Amino acid sequence: MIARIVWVLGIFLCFLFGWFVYVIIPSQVLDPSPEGEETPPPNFGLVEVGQQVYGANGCSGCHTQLVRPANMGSDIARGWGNRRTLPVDYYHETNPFLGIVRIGPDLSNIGKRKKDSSWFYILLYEPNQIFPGTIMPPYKYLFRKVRAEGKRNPQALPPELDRTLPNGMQIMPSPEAVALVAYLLSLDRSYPTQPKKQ
Amino acid sequence: MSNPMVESQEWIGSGVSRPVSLDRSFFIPVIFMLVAAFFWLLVSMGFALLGAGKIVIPSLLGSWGWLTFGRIGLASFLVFSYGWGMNGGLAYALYLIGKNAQEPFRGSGYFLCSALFWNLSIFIGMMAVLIGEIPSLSWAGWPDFVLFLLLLNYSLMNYWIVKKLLVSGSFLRSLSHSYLLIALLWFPWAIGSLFIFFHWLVIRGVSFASMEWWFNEGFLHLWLAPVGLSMLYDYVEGRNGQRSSSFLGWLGLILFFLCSNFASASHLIGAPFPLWIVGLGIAARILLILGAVAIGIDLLQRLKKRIQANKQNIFSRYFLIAFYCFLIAIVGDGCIAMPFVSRLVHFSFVEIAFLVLFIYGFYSFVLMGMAHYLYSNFFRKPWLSETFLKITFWTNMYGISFLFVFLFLGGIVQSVELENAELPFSQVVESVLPYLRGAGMSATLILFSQLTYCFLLLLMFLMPVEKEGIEKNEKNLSRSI
Amino acid sequence: MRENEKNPQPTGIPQPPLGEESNRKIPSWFWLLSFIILSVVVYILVFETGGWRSSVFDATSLFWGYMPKEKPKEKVLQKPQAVAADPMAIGQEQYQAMCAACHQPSGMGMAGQYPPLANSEYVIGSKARLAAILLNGLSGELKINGQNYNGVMPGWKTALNDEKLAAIMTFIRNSWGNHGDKVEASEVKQFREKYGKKEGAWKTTELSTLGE
Ligand code: HEC
Ligand code: HEC
Repeated sequence: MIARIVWVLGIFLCFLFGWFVYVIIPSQVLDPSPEGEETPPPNFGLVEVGQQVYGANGCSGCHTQLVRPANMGSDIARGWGNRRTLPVDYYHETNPFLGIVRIGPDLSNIGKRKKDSSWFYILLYEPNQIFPGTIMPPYKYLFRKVRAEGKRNPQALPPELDRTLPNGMQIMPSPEAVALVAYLLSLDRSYPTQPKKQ
Repeated sequence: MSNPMVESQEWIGSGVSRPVSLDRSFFIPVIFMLVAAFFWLLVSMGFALLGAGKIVIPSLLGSWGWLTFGRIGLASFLVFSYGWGMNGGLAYALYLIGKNAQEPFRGSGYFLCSALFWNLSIFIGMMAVLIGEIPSLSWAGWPDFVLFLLLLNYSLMNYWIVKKLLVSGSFLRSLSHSYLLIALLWFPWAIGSLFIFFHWLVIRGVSFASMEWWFNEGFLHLWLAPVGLSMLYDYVEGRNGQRSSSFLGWLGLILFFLCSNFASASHLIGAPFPLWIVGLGIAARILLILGAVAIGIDLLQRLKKRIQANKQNIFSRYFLIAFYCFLIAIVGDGCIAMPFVSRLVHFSFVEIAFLVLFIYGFYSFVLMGMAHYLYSNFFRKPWLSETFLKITFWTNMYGISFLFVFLFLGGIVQSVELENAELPFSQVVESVLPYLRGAGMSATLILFSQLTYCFLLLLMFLMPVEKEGIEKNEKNLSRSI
Repeated sequence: MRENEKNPQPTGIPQPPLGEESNRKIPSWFWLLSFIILSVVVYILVFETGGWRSSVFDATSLFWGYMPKEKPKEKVLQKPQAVAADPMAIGQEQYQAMCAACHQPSGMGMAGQYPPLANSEYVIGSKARLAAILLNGLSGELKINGQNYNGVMPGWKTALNDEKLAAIMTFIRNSWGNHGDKVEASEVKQFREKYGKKEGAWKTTELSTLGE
């Protein structure tokens, strides 16, 4: 009987220990305290919505959002960032999209590399247009075809992208696409971080 | 045993020379879970195939948001591990308990009921993922209410099993029971804490990532692996519960179990985590190799014995393959966790290759073997077609080997080219693409294998036992062997 | 004797129960492997974990990947530069970066959405109240210059340090026709100690209690 109890207790203690080390301790020590490092400005409005769109469409299945230090990988040499990412960079995210595998390039600093929102719209609508032969899937369902009233909307995509587009129609990003692009544009983790005050 | 028919029926009789005497009250839920498992297996492979297709033709079915790559990839993984993996694992758990039980299973009805709801929750969860309710991209990818449903049904199903295990105390003597107990206890604990964290958003920032990996690792090494190992040990321990207090077996269990709790952080190398977290993870993962080797030596010695005694049959083949996949996967995982390797292969397909080897090669294979064994016992009649069984086995086998090789090689190419910072990323994608196509092809092979098996199962369910049929089969057999 | 104890099955079976006698055979290379792996593990745990401190993220030892050192000077240079500059200039720069998206560069806000900072009593009034709003954010119904607003402003206490907050406050209190006195970093430090512990944003109903 005692052996049984000890064994089961041991199992639970092990669970507890692992859980403590990887769930509880990080949540205590890695959240920067208010007096400590400076966090990036809080996300609000579109950016926050866009972050959810990013998660809901599984972008992080192919893209990572973390820059490894120069001695642990070629990320910095590739120009994906100018420094390794630190916990502060993800301070405002409930669910940071660190990612699993790099089928596509790292996006930690994509907002710094590319600043043109129409570039992003074209990429999302038809990635082939920008990277011929790429495996990034098109996200056409994030766009709507609407009747052009009078002048072409400045946000509308170039009509060449869809040959079958009827006359008088234009391709407009849906609110989700707008939010997603706002989020991508906000991704800039290249600001200098200050060493933690002790 | 002395029946020459059984002896020679390597594929058809499939070696069930000594059928287990499992009460109907056990067998009905077991078979229900198994059928559900195969259903989910097909669903998951269907998704996986669609995903592979999307890698080849990215615009395939691209106008539907719910079939976008990110969502079906996740759905495929989740359905595979919870639908196929856990249904199958729980069926096995019930069988293991029922095998030694003296009395019929009184909670049979309850079990069936909650099993039904368990599968319903998986369905709901799958739908939620497809419409974009994705809290994270891993084994914890269910929305919180699905986590709750899963937890509830799981506890209802397993309360009795765990109680039985604890009361009998057999886990102190038998490795198979011990492994099973670990797995059964881990799940409610992990999914429960996950539910709390998801629902009340207690964990945020980078700690979310470490929690995610903690759960992933646990799911692989504290659920799938123990259940799989338990099946292997059950096979080698034989029917009479010939337990043995083998030192290596227990050492392996303890090492494996201890380190699995800590190994997750090796995936966080380079991520925004302090060195000690990552270092601890790497150390645990390397120690895991030792555990796996200890288990490996022990199991191999016994497997050999067992196979000598019983002749090679279809289960032993499945089990042997699974066993080797297990070893390769764990040792491989340990090797690629070393920083000088992981600086190259981290985030590449090499990691995916070992993962695939682990869940498809190891877990799926033991489960296939076990399912086949249970079905054989259930039907109590020869399998209708030997060819089908052979096709199932060999296509599965080739499928998984090719899948692994393609992903592994593709991953190596990817890592080497990524290391060269001058090479544009598009170039890297281009050179990896052929390997991905190959991997997609291999996935097709696996799907094909499973379809064959399911078709055969369907036939077995539908066809009445025919005396002539059996005789004809026997004749066929004697010709083919 | 021993044999029988271990083997309750009737004797005469040629084969011992599976697994029984194979147990003792532990290959010697296993011990060697254990030794190697254990030493590697101990080495990692002792020497390569940054002294188990949570603030150590990088190492350039051989284990983690060797890197020729070059950089550390750059970082030291950046800080003094920021301190030396004029608070109004820093304030303007920070305002453009952090606040202008909502309150607009003109400080006039956006009708119905973002309240103006120009000619707002919250800006020119009590420093403590302004600091409290900026530190924790604000939500709820608000009436400024006859217009109603009901939005949410996030808190800035983690994003801005004392110097920057003080500069922003100085800047908004002295732009667009506002006239207020200068805010020192030391004051912000006190306010931070006083209000910074709060979770979440202030409700507008709480505002009257602030600032005394
Ligand atoms: C099948 C995997 C896959 C998915 C899913 C995916 N991408 Fe991509 N993405 C890629 C690949 C591959 C590239 C690189 C294209 C190339 O160079 O050929 C890329 C490139 C990009 C780039 C340009 C990066 C740069 O450095 O130029 C952005 C931005 C991007 N993707 C955003 C997204 C977003 C947003 C989503 C989700 C809506 C997404 N991706 C989903 C594979 C994917
Ligand atoms: C997300 C957009 C947003 C940003 C960015 C923002 N604010 Fe606000 N701010 C608001 C909203 C909305 C309110 C009104 C809150 C309410 O209705 O309760 C507000 C209210 C205020 C108020 C009190 C009301 C008033 O007009 O006097 C002050 C002071 C203020 N903000 C200053 C700042 C400063 C300084 C910054 C930059 C550090 C800033 N805000 C950045 C949205 C924002």
